[in-house]
Amino acid sequence: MKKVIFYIVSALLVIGYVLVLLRGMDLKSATPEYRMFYVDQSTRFLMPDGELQNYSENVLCTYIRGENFRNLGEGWNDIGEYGIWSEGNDASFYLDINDSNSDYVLELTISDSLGYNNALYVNGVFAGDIVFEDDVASINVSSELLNEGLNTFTIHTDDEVLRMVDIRPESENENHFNILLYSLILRSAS
Amino acid sequence: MTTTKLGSINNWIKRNNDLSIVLFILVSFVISRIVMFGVYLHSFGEAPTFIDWLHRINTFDVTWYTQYVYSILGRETFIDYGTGQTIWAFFPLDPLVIAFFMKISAMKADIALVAFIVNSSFFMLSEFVAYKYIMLTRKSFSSAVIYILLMTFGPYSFYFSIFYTESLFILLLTLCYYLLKKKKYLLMGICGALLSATRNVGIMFVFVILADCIAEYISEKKIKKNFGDFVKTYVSKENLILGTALVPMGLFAYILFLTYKVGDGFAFLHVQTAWARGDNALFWAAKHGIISVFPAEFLGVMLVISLSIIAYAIFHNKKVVEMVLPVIILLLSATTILQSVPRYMVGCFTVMLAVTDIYKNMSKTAKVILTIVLLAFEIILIREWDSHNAMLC
Repeated sequence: MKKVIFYIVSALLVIGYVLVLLRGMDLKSATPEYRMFYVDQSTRFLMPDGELQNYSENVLCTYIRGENFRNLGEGWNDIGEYGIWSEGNDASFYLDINDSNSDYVLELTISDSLGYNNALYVNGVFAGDIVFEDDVASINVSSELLNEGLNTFTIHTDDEVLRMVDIRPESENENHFNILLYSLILRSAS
Repeated sequence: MTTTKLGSINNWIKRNNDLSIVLFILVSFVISRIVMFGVYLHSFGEAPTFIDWLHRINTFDVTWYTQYVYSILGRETFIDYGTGQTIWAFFPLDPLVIAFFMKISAMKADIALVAFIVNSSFFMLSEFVAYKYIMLTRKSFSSAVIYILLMTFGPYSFYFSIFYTESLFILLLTLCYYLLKKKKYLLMGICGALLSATRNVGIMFVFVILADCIAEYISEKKIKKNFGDFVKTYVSKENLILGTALVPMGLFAYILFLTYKVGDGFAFLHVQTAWARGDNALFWAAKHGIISVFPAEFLGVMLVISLSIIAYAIFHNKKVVEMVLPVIILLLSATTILQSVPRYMVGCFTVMLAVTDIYKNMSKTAKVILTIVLLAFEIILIREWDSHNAMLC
C-alpha cells in the first residue's frame, strides 16, 4: 500500500511540475512593460507597470534626464543633456493610440543631425520621409497604419551610418550616430 | 607527563568523536572570524566596531537579499528603474529565514548581525554534516579535520558569514549528499526541495542521484546488466523515486509564486537581462579569461584551478558522482559570467572535499607550503572583500 501511495504522489508531483511549467511560461498576465523590457528586450528602459499608456497622442515626450523618455525601443544611445542619439539604421519608440481611426501628425524635434536621409515606419510600414526644417520635422501618419493601443514607430535610414568621428573628426566619438532626438509629439491631424 | 596528557586527549577524542568535532568547528570558526575582523581593523583602523565590520562585509548582492527580506515583510518590491534589476533574480529561502528572525526581533535587530548569526550557524552545521559524510565515505577523521580547516580558514570563507545564500546552500547540499549515501531518500528529497528553493541550480541534484544510481549499479556483482534491468532495479525503489521527485519542488514552488506575483514564472531568468548577462559558452569564457588576456586574469586562473581539481577528482580519485554537480554548476555559471565561479566552487561542498583528498595525500613539505599559500590567499581575499573588490562577487 505504501509503495502505491509513494508512486501516486511521485506521479502527481511530476504532473504538477509540468502544469506549473506550462502556466509559468504563459506570459498573458505579465504587463506589456514587463514583457517588452525583460522578455522581448524591445524597450531601452524599464517602465513602471501601466506607464506605456502614458505615452500616447498629444503627450510631449522629451528625451533628456528627468523627463518622460522611457518609451524608447532599440537603436538609441544614452540620455544626455540635449537629447538622445539614435544609433545605426533603425531607432524605434512606442506610442499608445486611443483612436486608431483618426489621422495623426508626428512632430520630431532634434538638437543635432549628421545629415542622413531618414524615413518613418509605423508598425513596419512606410509612413513618410523625415525632413527637418529648423530642427523640426512633421510627418503625416495615416490611420491605416495604426493599431488600437500600442504602436511601434521606427526612424529608418538606408544610408550607411558611419562613425561620428568619420564625419566630425574633432568629436573622436566612434559611435554610429544619426540624429540627436530632443522631443516628439503625436498630434491629431484634424 | 606531556606525552601522557596528549595520549589522554587523543583517547578522549577517539571516544567522543562527535563532540570533539563540534568543539573543533566552534573554536576554528571563532578564531577565523577574529582573524577576519583583525584584517579589517588593520586595513581600516580608527577603532571600527564589530557591527561596522559586518556592514562593511555585507555588500554587493546583500543589498538585493536585504530588499527581498523587506519585500517579504510587506514593503513594496524594490525595482531599480535605471537598470531594471530587481529581487526576482534571487531565490527566496535564505531571505525567508532571515525575514523570520527579523520578524521575531520586531524588526529591531540589525539585519547584518542576524544574517551573520544565522548563516554562520548554517555553515558550522554544514561542516558537522560534512564530517559525518567524510566518516561515511572516507572513514578518515583527519580528512574531516582538514576539510573543516579548509572551509573555515580557506579562500572565500567570508562568504559563509554574510547575507548570501552560500551557507544555507552548502548545508542543504551536504545534507543531500549525506542522506543519499545513507539511502534516506525521503529526507534527502525534502532537503533537495529546500536546496532548489535556495538557488535554482539546486534542482541539478537530481543528476547526482542518477549518477549515484548508475555508479552503484555498475559496481554491483550482477551477471546480467543492461539498461532495462537498471531501470527495473531503481524504479522499484519507491522511496528513491519519491525522494527524487521532491527535489525540484522548491524551484517549481518559486515558479508558481512568480507566475502569480509577476505574471512570469521565469522572471528569475528573464531579469538576468538587467545584469546584462548573456549566454556564452564555457569554452568562450575560458578562452577569453585565460588565452585572450594572456597571462590569464585572476578569474581565468580560478577557472583553471577549478577545472584541474575537478579533473583530478574524476580521473585520479575516481570521485565521478561527487563531481557531477560541480561540473554542472561550472557549465551553468561560467556560461554567463566568470565572476562567481570561485565562490560557487568553494560553496558546492565536493570541490573542497576533492581538495581535502588531494591535501591528505601530499608530503609534509607540500602540506606546509599549501597551507601557507591558502592562508595568505584568504587574508588577501578578506582585505579585497573589505575594500569591495567586485572581482570577488
